[in-house]
Amino acid sequence: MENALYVGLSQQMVLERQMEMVANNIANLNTTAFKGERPVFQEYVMQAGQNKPVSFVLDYGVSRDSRAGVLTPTDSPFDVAMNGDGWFSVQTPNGVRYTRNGHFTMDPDGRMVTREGYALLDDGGGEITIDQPELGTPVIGRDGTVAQGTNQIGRVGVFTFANDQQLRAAGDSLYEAPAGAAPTAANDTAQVVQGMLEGSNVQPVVEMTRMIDLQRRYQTMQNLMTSDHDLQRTAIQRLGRVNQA
Amino acid sequence: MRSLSIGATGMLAQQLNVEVISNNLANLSTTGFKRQRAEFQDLLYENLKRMGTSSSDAGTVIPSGIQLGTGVKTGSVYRIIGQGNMTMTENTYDMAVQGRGYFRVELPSGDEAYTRAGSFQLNGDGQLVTQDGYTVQPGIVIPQDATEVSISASGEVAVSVPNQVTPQVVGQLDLATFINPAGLEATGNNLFLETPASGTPTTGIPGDVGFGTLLQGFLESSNVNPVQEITNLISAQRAYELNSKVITASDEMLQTVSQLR
Repeated sequence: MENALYVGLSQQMVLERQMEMVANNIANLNTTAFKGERPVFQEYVMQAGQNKPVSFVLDYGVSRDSRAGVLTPTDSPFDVAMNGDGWFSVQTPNGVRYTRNGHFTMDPDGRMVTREGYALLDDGGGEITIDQPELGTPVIGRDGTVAQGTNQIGRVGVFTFANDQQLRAAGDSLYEAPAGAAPTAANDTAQVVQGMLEGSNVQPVVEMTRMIDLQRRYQTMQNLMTSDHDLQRTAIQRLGRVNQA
Repeated sequence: MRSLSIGATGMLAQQLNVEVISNNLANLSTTGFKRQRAEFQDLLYENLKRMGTSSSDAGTVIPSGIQLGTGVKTGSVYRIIGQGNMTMTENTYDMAVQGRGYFRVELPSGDEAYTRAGSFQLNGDGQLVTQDGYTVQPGIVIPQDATEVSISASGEVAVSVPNQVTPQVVGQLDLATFINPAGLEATGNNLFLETPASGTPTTGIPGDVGFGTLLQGFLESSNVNPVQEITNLISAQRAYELNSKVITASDEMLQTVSQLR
């Protein structure tokens, strides 16, 4: 008899989690290279003794929207965006991480680093050091080649994965590759664009409609649970009236 | 409910965005001002079901898992170094740099600061100084009897003195460049200081490759583009509103719960 309540509860729990994802997407509306996320739900079927099974809802996973965000010009020579499929790789204290946030700067040693100070890696896994300040601002070519004047310093590494969904978000625009997922160099397919940054791919209108939709579903489920509750109460009251002649 | 606090981080981020934009707009007419841009990053993620963990004895693995983001934070507010427009002032000691170089200025502390605002004047000793009276490096003294001062594109300061046909060279201005000018620290009053992120300054003569040339009688205006800033302002305001809607919606969801008897 309480099944309706528990089924409703299972939906409210996943809706609440979906709301959290929508909130996170909206909060990251202006985050460089942010990728919107959606929950993936699945049905959990319980064979309830009688011939009618009861199905609950469960959140099963997260799917990341891998579409590219809009590129915006920033005029900063150390900002690079990626046109096409691929990731930049950076060396963090916890190992190599991947990012599409191309806002780099220069550290005191002349290395190209993220704002946390993690070194940007080249296509061979080495650091990119701009060691001749007198030659002026580096120029980054479409294929990732970093040059100062006629001197080629390095090549920004661009990597792809067989399945981007396997990457785990680590915050700070960084993603971690699972053990065993080997990246392939993709400097020939993706283009690197200097002086631009990739925006977030969150579409506010879509998020807003989703939010309204899930809020209403939450209320509907609430009403259903209240009706079920009323039904039970009425049943108990009616059955309780023994001598009603 | 986490979405309440997530929405709050979003509102905070957009508030900072509006602050940066309003500072840009406030400095629309500031000589040599370089606009700033706020850059955001996603906050840490909470792993509710870690991807890659096994889901059975047979070794099957959860492919995507459940990760919940917890909001947004400000990554950095950085300066965009782009040439501003040239405004003609016809003032003898006004100079604009067309290119990457910075004028060198000696602070009262003896340290060196860098500026793009070339609105210079003479002090009582005939020295070339900034609006605040700090000397422009290398020190240039204009003789009292000079009738005309001309500064060439390559920074040569020449004066005409009575009873002399040929102009007399009294000094040579130089410029400093940085490999990463966005890393300079702004101290207000149009002055910038060297930081580890900017790299050390390289000094050179205007006209050398990469330094830019001087333009006498002109000033560089700010590189703020009002149309772009207003567009950014509108988008920041809307993003702020969207985040507040998230909070309202989460609140209403909580309210439905509290109405459950």
